[in-house]
Amino acid sequence: MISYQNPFRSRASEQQRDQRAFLKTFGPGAIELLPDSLWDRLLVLRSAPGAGKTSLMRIFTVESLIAITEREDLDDLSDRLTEVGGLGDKGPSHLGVLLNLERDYRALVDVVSSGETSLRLFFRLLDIRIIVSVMRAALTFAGKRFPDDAGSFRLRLREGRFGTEDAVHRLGGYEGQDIFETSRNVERSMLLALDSLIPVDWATHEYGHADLYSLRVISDADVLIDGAPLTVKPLIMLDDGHRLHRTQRDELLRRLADRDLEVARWYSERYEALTPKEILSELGQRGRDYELVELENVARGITPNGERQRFRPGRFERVLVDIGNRRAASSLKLYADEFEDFFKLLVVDENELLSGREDEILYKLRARLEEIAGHDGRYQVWLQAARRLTGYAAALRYRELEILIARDLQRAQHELIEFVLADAEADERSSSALREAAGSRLAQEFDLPYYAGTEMIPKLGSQNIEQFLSLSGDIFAEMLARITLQRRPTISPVRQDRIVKRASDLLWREIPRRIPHGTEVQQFAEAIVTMAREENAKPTMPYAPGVTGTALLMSDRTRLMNPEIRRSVPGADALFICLGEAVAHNIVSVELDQSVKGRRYMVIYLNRLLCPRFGLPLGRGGYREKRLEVMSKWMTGPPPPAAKVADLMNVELSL
Amino acid sequence: MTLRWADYVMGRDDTSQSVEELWRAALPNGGVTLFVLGAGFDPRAVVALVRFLDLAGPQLVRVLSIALATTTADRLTVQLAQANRGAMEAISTKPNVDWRTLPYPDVAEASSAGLLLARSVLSDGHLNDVRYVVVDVSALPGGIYFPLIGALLQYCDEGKLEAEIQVFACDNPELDEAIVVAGLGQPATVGGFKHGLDLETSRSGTRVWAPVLGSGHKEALAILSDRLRADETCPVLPFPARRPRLADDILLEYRQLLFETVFVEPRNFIYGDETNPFDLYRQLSSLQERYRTNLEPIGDSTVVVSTHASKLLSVGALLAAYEAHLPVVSVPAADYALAQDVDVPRLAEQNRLVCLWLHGAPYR
Repeated sequence: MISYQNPFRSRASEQQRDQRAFLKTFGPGAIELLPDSLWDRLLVLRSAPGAGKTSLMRIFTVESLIAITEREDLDDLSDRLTEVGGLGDKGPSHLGVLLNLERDYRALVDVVSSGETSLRLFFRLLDIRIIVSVMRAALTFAGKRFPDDAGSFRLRLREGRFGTEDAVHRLGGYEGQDIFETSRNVERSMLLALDSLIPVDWATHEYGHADLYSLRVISDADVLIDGAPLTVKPLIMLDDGHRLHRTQRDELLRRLADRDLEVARWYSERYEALTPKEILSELGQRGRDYELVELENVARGITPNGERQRFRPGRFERVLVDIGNRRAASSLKLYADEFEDFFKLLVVDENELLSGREDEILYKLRARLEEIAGHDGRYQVWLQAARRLTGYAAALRYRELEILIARDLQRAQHELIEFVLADAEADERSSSALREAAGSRLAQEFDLPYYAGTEMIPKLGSQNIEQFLSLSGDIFAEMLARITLQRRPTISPVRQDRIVKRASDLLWREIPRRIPHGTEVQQFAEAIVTMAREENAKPTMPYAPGVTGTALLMSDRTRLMNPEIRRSVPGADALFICLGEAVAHNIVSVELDQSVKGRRYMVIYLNRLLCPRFGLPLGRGGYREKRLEVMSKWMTGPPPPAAKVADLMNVELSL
Repeated sequence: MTLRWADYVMGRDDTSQSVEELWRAALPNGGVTLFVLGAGFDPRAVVALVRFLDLAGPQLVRVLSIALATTTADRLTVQLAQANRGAMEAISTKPNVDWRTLPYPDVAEASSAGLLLARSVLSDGHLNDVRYVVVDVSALPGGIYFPLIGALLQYCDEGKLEAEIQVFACDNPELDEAIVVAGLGQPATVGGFKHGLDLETSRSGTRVWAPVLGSGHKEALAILSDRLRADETCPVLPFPARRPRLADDILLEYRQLLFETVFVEPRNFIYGDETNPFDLYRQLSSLQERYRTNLEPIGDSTVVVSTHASKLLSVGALLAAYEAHLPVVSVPAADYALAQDVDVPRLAEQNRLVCLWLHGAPYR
């Protein structure tokens, strides 16, 4: 029997280890998330975990750039990288090195009693790792081996800037072998002391230094291999900056932002919505002194004032579809001789959404409309036009008319002479948001599949590549089951809907175990859900496509970040903690400084993958604002009883 | 390969080698006994101490209680923590007890706490005149007792401490499973057990991951799998176990991770006796030796251990990691709580005290 592998689930190990697989499945469109200015100033990337920061940086490592140059089947990726300056005519134009800031640094603050010593150790450890990474990358670029060929590496100062020579000596000198030996000795002895079970007297050690010297050295020196200067320029990419202690992070960012540096440097960190002090504002002007890319916002088409919009709404979803198709292509061909794209196999004929219950559903919808508007001549044209439709289109139109008529009946002032409303007026009052609201209500009321199709699945990714891949993996598992049964790997809307709802439920149930203060995070999310369900149950659907979030005035956000105010508002402390965790773990996403009716809000949306569990639509835009006192009060009551939570979930989870 | 604990000394409630016999043998004629335990909500927190003090009689016992704060609002968890506090207060007033409390350190990195506590035990005078050290791991999280036991063994090995070292565990795998993680922190090496993992200046070698599996740790395992990116995975299953189907259940629970994400080869599974930590110690030690010998011609290899199982199996992993310098990684829990609807008195009937003699008279 053939053993099938799910290409979406092997991401954690194979994809990360196997350069070829990584490149083949990377969606080139994601490169467009990056701004125009990449090389001459600090670039800060921010996103929730799993949004693709690391993959985006990994594509610029020298190993990736070399592999892309050498391969002939990655033209689209090569073209995109050439456009942004990662590749030149003859191959890589940058010596990209990727360093993770997760390892060892934060613990320095705990195990070294003096703050100053701890910072000195931080700079030294990071320095030797940066310089050794550059050496490793340079040797790789030159086709040599690390560390065996370290002797081929050499630094040569371009100009005698004050202090650079001293910086070179602190890093071990000019010769590669000396730099390597020094770095290795420093790293080993420093980590031995850091991790020592026996107490260490740091005063007797001379490990640290007062600044980050490696960037200055790389900036002012040429890298030589066997005496010949490299034509490529270093690019230092520092990943997971949020894992640093706040002091380390701020000090590092100050140094990275130095405009005198002539080295490209990128820094990534997790998005935090409630950072009391934004260090970036001290570093200069965004766009001039540094670039800030909030990946999810770019993906949603939200950009700061005056900045070019790189992604129109819906564009990122197409990038996801491309990534999904690339992942699945070879497995589909190999296992099922299937040449259709993964997403083509998920295309839904909308009439299938009625699950063979067309007559029953249309009859009930017609009856409801007759009851509310059948005797009112004003809506006769609308009703007659709808009657000409069939299948899902008819059902959707009936449900939409229900909302439109409810809204029309609620007009504050009725006209003296009631005119018959023309069909065109229904179209005028309609919108994609309203149709989405109608579709969502239809599915809820008749227990129909809703979360299915090539538009829904990418939306459920919630601008998060990891979440999207995980969900696609669940769907591909079903495809593998069909392949095993020697059937075509198409998935019906009913099955897609069930898979999505199960994934949604799993995400929800994992919260208490996965996330610190997870019970409180669930409590907060449930308060949003309760409010959303109340709003969305209104016949007029005032916030089409439906409420899926809440909002806090920016001034209330400032109050929430003030510990003294938090002490005086019941529940505010719990709200502050839980909101921080919810954002950090992508349970909610936040859009700061959104303008609504002249006021500025922090808008908080539920992760899209949570919406199916609670029967909520996926479109964004619907939220109800709440004052800090009200939102804080959500955290003071007992969590809703388990039974109520179960009621909210009108789904059959077993597949 | 000569193993330090090839001939081990272990006592257990339900075997012919009673724990009391080992305690009696280790109790010093002069000097002080240091008894280290965790003060949290775990219902096993004082089980061993109460029995030990009965046996110790008038001898002076210095009890070092490590304060384990919990932020959970769960009613049962809070009640259990209160009950433990009450029991400890009562014990602390006994005339032969020198009760000391070690506060939980305020740390930026969760994994630093164990290291700081271990260093404090060594350097803050708690070992003065001590001839017998007991570490009761029953109510201590792995992130604390790994560095603590490691530090004590290293202190003895370096000749800075002359004492009998015993580890007590109130073995109750069901209760271990009933204590659930409430939120996960960031993956990190366990304090004192980095052992060269992720050195930026090293040449890259083969990495083998040996997770010691128990139920209910899917999220932590997924995080570690992403973090380690191991070339090979050798999961440890508890077998033989008190519940014979336990290994099967664990396989089912983690089938997606094991077979679809990290592609474990069926021959890579390791089976460790759930009731005997020295069995797992032997298995992991030989695994490391096997990989080291076989892969030596093509470079370095490292077996990285993580523990997600019962206390006893975790101690087995600790011994192998200490002796063979294996890195140990974990995803520290933000907090712990008791699972819903746990019948604590019923579970407590399954408590079995185990005593592992790690250093001292039997090994001289």
